[in-house]
Amino acid sequence: MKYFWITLLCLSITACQIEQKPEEVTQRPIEENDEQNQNDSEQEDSGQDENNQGDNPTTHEITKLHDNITCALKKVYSENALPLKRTRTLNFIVARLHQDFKSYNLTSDTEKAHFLAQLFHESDGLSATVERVLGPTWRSLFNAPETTWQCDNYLDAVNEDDHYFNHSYVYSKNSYRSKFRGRGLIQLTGCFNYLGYFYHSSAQDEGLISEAELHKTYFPYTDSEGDYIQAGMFCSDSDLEILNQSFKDSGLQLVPQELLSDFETTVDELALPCEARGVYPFKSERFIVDSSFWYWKKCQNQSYFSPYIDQNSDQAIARMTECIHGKNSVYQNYANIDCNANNSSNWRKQSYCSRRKAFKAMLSCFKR
Amino acid sequence: MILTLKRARVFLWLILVLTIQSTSAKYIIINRETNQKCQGDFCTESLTIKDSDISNFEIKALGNKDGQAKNFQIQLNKARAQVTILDQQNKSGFIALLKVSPAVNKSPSLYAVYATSGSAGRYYHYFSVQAHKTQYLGLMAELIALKDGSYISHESDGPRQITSYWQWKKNQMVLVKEEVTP
Repeated sequence: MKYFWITLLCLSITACQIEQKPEEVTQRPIEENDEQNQNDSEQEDSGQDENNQGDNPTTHEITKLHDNITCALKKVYSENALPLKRTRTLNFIVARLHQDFKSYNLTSDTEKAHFLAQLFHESDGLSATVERVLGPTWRSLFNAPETTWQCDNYLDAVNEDDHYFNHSYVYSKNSYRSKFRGRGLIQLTGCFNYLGYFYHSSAQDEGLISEAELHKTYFPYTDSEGDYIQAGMFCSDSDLEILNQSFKDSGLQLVPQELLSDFETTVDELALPCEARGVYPFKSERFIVDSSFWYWKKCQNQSYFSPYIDQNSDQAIARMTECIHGKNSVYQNYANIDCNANNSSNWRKQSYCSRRKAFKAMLSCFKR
Repeated sequence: MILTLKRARVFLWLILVLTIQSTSAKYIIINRETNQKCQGDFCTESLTIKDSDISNFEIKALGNKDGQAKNFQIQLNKARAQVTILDQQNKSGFIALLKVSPAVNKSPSLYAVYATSGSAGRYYHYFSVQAHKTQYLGLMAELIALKDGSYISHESDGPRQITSYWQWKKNQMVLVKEEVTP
């Protein structure tokens, strides 16, 4: 077994040159505290020698998934060795990603490639778990030599950007502000999307399966001024209190409860890509990864998208782009987009071509 | 010289934009009473709107009577539009009419019917109502009314931000400028 890992390490070093091999992945056990993980692990380990833990199928699958994603990211961003801003996040999320592929029922390589391609584009190649402004603190974080994110510094950088989102950026200060800025791999933005995800996670915890299956983003309520409104980009603390009551009426609640007393600090903590971060019992890797899978339910549940999930075609890529990014005629007229042409005058065409490139790269790496 | 003038214009524009403060615009769901009638394949949802700007609001589902139709004919006062609603708002297929309060008196009241959302943002079918004149403006990203009477919308594309600046001119919503950053 020892020789297997040494051989694997040598092969990786040769293939990736100075790229950081996922030490965390190979060394990191599936979370002992996660009941679902334990169950998966127990099922898959059944019949395995207890002393042969490193050889279990789950570890192999996670390592393989890590290698496949690395392969695809290199192709998409034309990088011989992935920069640390990508490997740190990948190492952190890959076990949860592997687990969620099963629990969220993404079974085929084609659907996984569609999902990951959209994720690559949204998270800037897995480099962002919080919407950010690329100031000196971020650059210093990127350039640090550590193979994992330094999350105390990461949090400082996040907080430094608050002023930009609350006071400088003309749209966000009038809309979602720093409180509801993009977080997680899918960059969940706006109160209604956060509510949708926490409705889902609460339903998961309460065992309300049909509610957990929803991609629900419509939350009407009567605000403190007596107006009947729908949850939009921004919700005040008193709005969240009212919405929590409507959650309770459905047998759910906003969890972790700290969301009610200090939403922004809580979600900032939940979006940190480091081990042992989050707000107990809600681990940050659950929020960062699961929020993107919750979003994918929209593609799985709606008949406009679902027939294309297992298809390898430009039409399928366009349809998945509409699912994640939003419906638009540019994507519906995908056949008129020439991805070899200079599409600099149309950002939507660029967006489609970027997602298309990522899908093709991911699928070819799965099929190696 | 041309470049310098352009830079100066961009600078002045930025100064102007950065000094603009918005109202706390919110999307109010119009109170209503629903009366649905179906005939053949068509259903009409007639609504009594308790809003001073609106005398008549009617949604006709085109070719589907189960409330799941995606194509609708919407009539707001005298303005009509055939629109597509991609996303279902809730299990019953309920479609809300939302009001965006004008920031200043010279601006029209905007009414919005939700169409779709994605990581780019939310999109609505917009109608304007001003001095008893109602018109369909089209499908647009969520508009925020600014205090000076102009509007702003925002779309995301991965790490990029797209900000659009709109002005109400000659009874039309005119795109003044679109910024893509970085």
